[in-house]
Amino acid sequence: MNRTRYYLIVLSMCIVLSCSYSGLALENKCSFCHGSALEEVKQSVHGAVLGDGQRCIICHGSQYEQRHYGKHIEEIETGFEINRCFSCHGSDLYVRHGEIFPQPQLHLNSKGDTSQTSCVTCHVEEKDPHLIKPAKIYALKDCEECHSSDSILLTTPSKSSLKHQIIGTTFTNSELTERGQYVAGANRIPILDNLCVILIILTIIGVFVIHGGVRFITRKRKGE
Amino acid sequence: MAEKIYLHPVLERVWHAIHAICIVVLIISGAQIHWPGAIHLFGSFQTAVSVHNWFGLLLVADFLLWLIYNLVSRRIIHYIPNKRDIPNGLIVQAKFYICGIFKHDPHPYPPTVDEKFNPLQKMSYLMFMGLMMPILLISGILYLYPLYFADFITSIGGLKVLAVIHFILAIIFAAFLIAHLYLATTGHTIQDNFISIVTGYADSEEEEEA
Ligand code: HEC
Ligand code: HEC
Ligand code: HEC
Ligand code: HEC
Ligand code: HEC
Ligand code: HEM
Repeated sequence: MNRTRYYLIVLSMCIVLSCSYSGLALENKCSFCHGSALEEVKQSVHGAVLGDGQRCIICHGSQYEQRHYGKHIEEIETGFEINRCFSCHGSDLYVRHGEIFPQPQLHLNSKGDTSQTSCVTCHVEEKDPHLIKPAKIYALKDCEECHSSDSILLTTPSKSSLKHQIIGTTFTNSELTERGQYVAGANRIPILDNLCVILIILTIIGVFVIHGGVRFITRKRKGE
Repeated sequence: MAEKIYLHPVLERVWHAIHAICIVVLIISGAQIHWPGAIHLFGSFQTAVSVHNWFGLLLVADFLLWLIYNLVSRRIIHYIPNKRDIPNGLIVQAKFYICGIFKHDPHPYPPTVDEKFNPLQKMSYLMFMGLMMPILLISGILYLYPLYFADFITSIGGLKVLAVIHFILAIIFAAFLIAHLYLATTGHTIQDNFISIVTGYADSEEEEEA
């Protein structure tokens, strides 16, 4: 008897929960499990512009719930694509970014498997991908943050899948480098660099110091 | 006084000056792009990139100028080794650099109006202008417009391979520049060749030596 009552209570709790859950707006469903995301979207530039129903799926696709259950994080298709940013911001993004960055397509494009930086790498100050601020307030334009030997693209290792690395704030390009990406200033082959420097130094020593030195010693002196 | 010969017509001198400036600027800005932490000669990374891109294009135009001019005027013949040069001339000239020069032997192949370059010069200029420079320029152009040539770039292994080819050739050219500058001091006097590439006139050596 006790047992049946116990099951009944659990069952009715489940019904209450699932009823209230299915009654929620989609974004609240998401924040049911992803507590902070909604707040952060609301605080971002997009807070006011995205309507109630759009706040999550406009960027993430709608099939989230089904995809989620019983899967490990690596298996979850994030559903996020840079195209979704483009769908609102339009292709003049290339023009606008091109005023600052050479090769804007390389900096923005997500097509193909190489040459990608994430929008959020530049538009999010902290680690949270949703807290996009007005470009006037924060937007990364210091080239050497990425194009240098201590590039942020190299120093933020991530365990997550390649796709996550590309579009996540923890973007690291070591794996992309293996696939052929090359960020000038950040990527290099140390042995090649050293060989090249040695070649240059040897050339200078070989001609100016050694050959030039012998020429100097054996030079014609006055009166000879 | 030695007789002067007119070795470098004005177009060649103009070409050479542009070429020299381009290469020096490209080496320095390229080095800054490759080692942004260590080299700041052009200020910011952004400036180095735009300088490199513009001078790169200038060098391409300059190369085409050189090629067309030399083909049309048939002066390309100066760059083609002939029977005198292979293999004999090469060996004689190399021997001169290894020992003759220290004994103040006369230059085995002093420049004349018909034979501007000695055998070693011919070979190396032909290699550098005929082979390495085109590869360097093409790799630069591909690197400048990666999206237009995306398929080709992917087929050779991506931007990385392209960048490494460009970098290795850049280093070879830097080494060549050093050797080129040094060998230019082995003229009749140390400054002789430098003067003649500016004025166009060179001392005709044998007369004086004789
Ligand atoms: C039942 C709880 C639940 C609901 C509801 C839910 N998620 Fe998730 N979601 C998860 C779990 C669990 C993960 C895996 C996270 C982890 O392992 O850290 C995840 C992962 C994600 C990821 C990938 C996380 C990453 O690190 O890349 C995204 C994006 C995401 N969810 C978005 C959404 C959106 C949008 C909605 C609403 C349509 C939603 N989720 C609804 C539980 C939920
Ligand atoms: C403006 C577009 C945009 C909107 C709106 C948006 N996201 Fe995201 N979201 C992103 C981007 C970009 C990432 C980073 C890409 C990645 O790591 O997959 C991300 C990552 C995530 C992640 C994994 C990283 C983390 O923060 O833990 C979760 C979970 C997530 N979003 C949930 C949501 C939920 C829930 C909503 C609705 C409240 C939402 N997102 C709305 C763009 C958006
Ligand atoms: C968020 C990091 C980031 C920032 C900031 C950044 N870049 Fe880039 N840059 C990249 C990535 C990633 C690529 C693409 C590399 C590829 O496609 O293989 C790239 C490519 C380039 C290229 C093409 C050559 C190459 O393969 O590296 C140039 C030139 C360039 N950037 C210049 C700049 C300049 C100038 C600035 C500053 C105004 C800048 N970048 C700022 C990440 C960045
Ligand atoms: C390499 C860094 C970087 C990347 C990657 C990047 N941005 Fe930007 N973005 C900037 C900077 C810097 C500005 C500021 C421009 C200014 O100050 O006028 C900006 C400006 C903007 C603006 C405002 C433009 C305007 O019209 O005023 C939008 C919208 C924007 N970015 C969206 C995106 C989207 C979407 C992506 C991804 C597809 C992206 N950005 C990727 C650096 C970046
Ligand atoms: C539903 C359409 C929509 C989507 C999807 C969207 N945005 Fe926006 N975004 C806007 C609007 C509208 C604004 C506000 C423009 C304004 O206030 O001037 C904005 C503002 C911005 C700004 C600040 C621009 C400025 O002028 O300072 C940035 C940066 C930005 N978005 C980046 C992104 C990124 C990155 C993504 C993809 C992860 C994205 N947006 C997806 C509609 C969208
Ligand atoms: C003597 C000639 C040149 C030298 C020494 C040189 C050197 C370099 C070096 C060292 C780099 C950095 C690569 C790396 O990080 O690995 C570079 C990048 C680059 N070079 Fe050159 N280069 C030369 C000519 C050219 C030409 C002719 C072009 C194009 C027309 C060109 C286009 C580029 C481009 C597009 C980059 C990528 C960075 C940028 O966009 O500026 N280069 N070069």
